[in-house]
Amino acid sequence: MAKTIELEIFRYRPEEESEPTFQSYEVPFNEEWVVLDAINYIKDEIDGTISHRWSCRMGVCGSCGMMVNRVPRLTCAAFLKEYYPKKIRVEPLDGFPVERDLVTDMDGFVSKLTDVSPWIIRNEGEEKPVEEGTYLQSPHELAEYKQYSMCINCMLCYAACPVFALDTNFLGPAAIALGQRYNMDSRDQGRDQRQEVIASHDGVWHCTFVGECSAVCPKDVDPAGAIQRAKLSSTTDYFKDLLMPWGKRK
Amino acid sequence: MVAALFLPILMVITGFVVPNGFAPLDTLSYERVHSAISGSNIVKLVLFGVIALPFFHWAHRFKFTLVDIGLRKISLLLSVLCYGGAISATVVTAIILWQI
Amino acid sequence: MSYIRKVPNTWWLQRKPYFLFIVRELTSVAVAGYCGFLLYLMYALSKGPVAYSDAIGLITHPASYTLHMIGLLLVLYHTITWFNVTPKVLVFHLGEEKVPAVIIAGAHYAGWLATSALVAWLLLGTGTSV
Repeated sequence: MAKTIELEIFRYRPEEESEPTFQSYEVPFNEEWVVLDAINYIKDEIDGTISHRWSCRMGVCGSCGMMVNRVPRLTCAAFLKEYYPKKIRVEPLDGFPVERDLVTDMDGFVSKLTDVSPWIIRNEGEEKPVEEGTYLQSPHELAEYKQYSMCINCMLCYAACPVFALDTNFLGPAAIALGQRYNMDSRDQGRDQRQEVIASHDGVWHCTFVGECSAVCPKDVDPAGAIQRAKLSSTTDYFKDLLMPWGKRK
Repeated sequence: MVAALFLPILMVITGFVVPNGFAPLDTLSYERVHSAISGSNIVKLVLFGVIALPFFHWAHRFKFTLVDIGLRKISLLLSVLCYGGAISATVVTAIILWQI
Repeated sequence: MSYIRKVPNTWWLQRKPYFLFIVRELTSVAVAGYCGFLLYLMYALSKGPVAYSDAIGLITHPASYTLHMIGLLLVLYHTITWFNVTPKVLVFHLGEEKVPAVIIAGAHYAGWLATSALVAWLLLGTGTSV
């Protein structure tokens, strides 16, 4: 008798129902399979109506994030054997509107990424023309921001964040970490410009340092750390401006 | 930070060391405490920091916690009560210490 | 039509990290409570020896032990959870390597030890006044 495992999957078909339901499927269990394999098996062999996002199946594209037994996971990295023989409940990532089944509406997230101006900003007149070559950066300067550049935009951090769950206006972990990635890049001069968004009430100051965002991040970006560091630098900037208004920052 | 650094030891002293007699009986006597505080503005300043600042720590965290567990609609009222409470406590602390 | 899921007010009871977070935040009540007690002692001090000795006498009341014990556990939880996250806030790179977390947190614990020793020496040390 081949081993099987039960998956209980969140279903929502807007053209058929106004409220979501859960549907259970029995899939083959084997040691190498991840939750994504099980979902693909369901779609290929049992129920082709199920909708879900996935791509690389190796933890670099950020497409397959879902709630697995109430924990945000990349389903390509969540092995069935971690849960076997208990059943696995799969839901779309928390905090986001559900378009259909396991597919969320990502628009809010994407617009937050743009809000932090995620590109190198140079002061007027300080652009380096192409003929002069590239900006040079030492390994130390790279180390300052490299961790924050590893984000794959999988949104697990948003799903883990209770502040975001309760108020979707919160800028959120990935967006702030992305802003910090540029703020800490030695080639960038745009920190002041980003401050208005990052140091706003819906920015870092909404965060209460629960820390779950960093706990679920599959790439060890540590957005929680990025946010607290931004709080610290905003505060020191505030006092510097207050006490020494003549100084000019980057 | 102030609460993290100072409160544990103070609580050990007032909660266990002195009441159980592990320190001389007059450790927290009126004469000793009063002369230590009234005689020094630095002591008063430190005491002011240790007593008043943690109220702001409380105000901030408590308000956000109440909002997080469902009281979001009265968030503004909670801010007034919590930060207002902290400010009042600060003023009261200053007045009391001034009078010692 | 996108479906928006509601967040129950019991969200923090559903997973251990969230529960511990709320406990951590509520330690601020113990902090405020004890500072309120200190404030009361100062108030009594300003009112003279009789008022003060009544107030300080409270620490021999049986309830004081219980309250101090609970408060101390909460305040210790506050201190420890705070010091343990300081390496996330204070990030320094020496070359390409980060200063290890244990050093950042360790520095805070060392400062805590030093402060506690100083306070204990000042309050409990021999000699009649500071």
